[in-house]
Amino acid sequence: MTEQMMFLGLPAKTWIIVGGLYFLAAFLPTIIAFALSRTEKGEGDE
Amino acid sequence: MNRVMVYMLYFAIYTVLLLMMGKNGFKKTNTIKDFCVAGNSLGLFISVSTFTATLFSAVSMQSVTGSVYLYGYSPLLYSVVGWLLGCSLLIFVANRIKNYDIATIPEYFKIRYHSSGYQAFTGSIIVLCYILYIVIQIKGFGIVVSELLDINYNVAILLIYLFVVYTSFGGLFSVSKTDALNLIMICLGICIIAAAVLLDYGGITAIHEKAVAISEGALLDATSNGYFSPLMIITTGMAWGLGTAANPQYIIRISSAKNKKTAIQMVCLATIILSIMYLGLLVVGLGARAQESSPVPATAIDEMLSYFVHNNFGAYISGIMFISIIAASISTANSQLLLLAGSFNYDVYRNLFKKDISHDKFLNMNRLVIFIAGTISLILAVNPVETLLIYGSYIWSIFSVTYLCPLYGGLYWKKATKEGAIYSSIAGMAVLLTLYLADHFYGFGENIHPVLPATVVSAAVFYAVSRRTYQEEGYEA
Repeated sequence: MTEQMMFLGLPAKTWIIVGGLYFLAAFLPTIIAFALSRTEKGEGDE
Repeated sequence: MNRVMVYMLYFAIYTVLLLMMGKNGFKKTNTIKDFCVAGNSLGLFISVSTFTATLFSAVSMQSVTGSVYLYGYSPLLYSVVGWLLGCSLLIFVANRIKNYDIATIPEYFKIRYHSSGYQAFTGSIIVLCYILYIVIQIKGFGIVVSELLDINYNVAILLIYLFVVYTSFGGLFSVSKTDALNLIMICLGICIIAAAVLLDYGGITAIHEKAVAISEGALLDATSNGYFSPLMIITTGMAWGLGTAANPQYIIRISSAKNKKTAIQMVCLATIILSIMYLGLLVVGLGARAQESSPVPATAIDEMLSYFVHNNFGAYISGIMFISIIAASISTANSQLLLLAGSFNYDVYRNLFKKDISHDKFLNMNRLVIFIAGTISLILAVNPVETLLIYGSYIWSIFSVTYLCPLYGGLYWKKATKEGAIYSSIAGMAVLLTLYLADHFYGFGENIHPVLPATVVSAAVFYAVSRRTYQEEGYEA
């Protein structure tokens, strides 16, 4: 445990797996909504 | 002022505020659509409030905090991440379902698949699932109120009638307004306790360092040093995620928003707010564990939060947290009671037996069903399940296997047919039940949540049957 890279006392591996997924999950609806609106805008322009 | 007096004062203030907010809804509710979807009129603030408060239940508050206390970071993966990812899929629903003029989600199935029987079936699923799920909220409420007012658990759970039944009687207008109050209380409680924990223990780094020391790093590991298998984490997360994505209590809030733009913004904002709230609970759960080297037993994880708050903070601070736990329970339970009453009367009774029913009679029948269903849940809550987080995932699985494919398939695939929807729901339920019983009696597949194979079978049947019947009958969806 002590050999691992830590940030704020939390191992980097946990930052990446839990933190990464958590961050992605929190903002995924916004990303999807943005992508959908761009797609619909594109279809409307055609 | 002594501790119980402070708690009672908080409880009294909260009660008065809740009754005042709930009262507004009674005046506005005149029709079936007012009752079920607030006349499709809710603005962004109320929509975000009611969506967030409904999703953030007693499971969130007590079971997530207790699980973090016991297992560290891994429960975030199999619960919270699942819920948030499930919200992402709801954007696809919001993008299309506003095209349908509906009062309930089963009514969408009737319009899309031209089947009154399927509307009644999916309505019955709502009634069954929510009666079982409200048990969780009642248990959460009972644990806190028994601690708060120093009364017996069974007496405490009786008090939930006062809140849940009253706020549900006024329809979605009442529920959404009280949800705004409940969300404010929940946020206030989490912020205050999380800040107090961080100040008391010298910040998140100190908490992490202590957590490593007492658990050999298990608390900070994504699988709790192998205690949970990756497959179990992924499939349980899927159970929650798919259950959220197909859950009528969230989809009906999309329908009740005043337009598509508001509905999409609601889901996006609510997900971000929820992610911040869960971070607060993470701090509380880990902080509580860092303070005590010997954990509470796994069977008592749902009681951990109230125990910790009661024993580590003064009455003025812990009282706010207790009220926020009550708010989390009520905001979910009243929403579910409302939905199940609407489904019973609109999707089952009115749809199958009595086509013509006046708005007034419908509203009164809904209130009667709310009372009866609340009573059944109350009786079941006298001897509640032990771990809310796992119990809840099984109930959400039922929505995954019955609603998911017919809902998303119906919105995005023109070849989806009534037969495909019906057979996929039946096949999904059959697989789910078989695997659940196999696990319960023989311990078969204990590392994999039954929702994964059941949803795969449900999707395969939906696709295969729809393709076949669409071609055979020249289906016009």
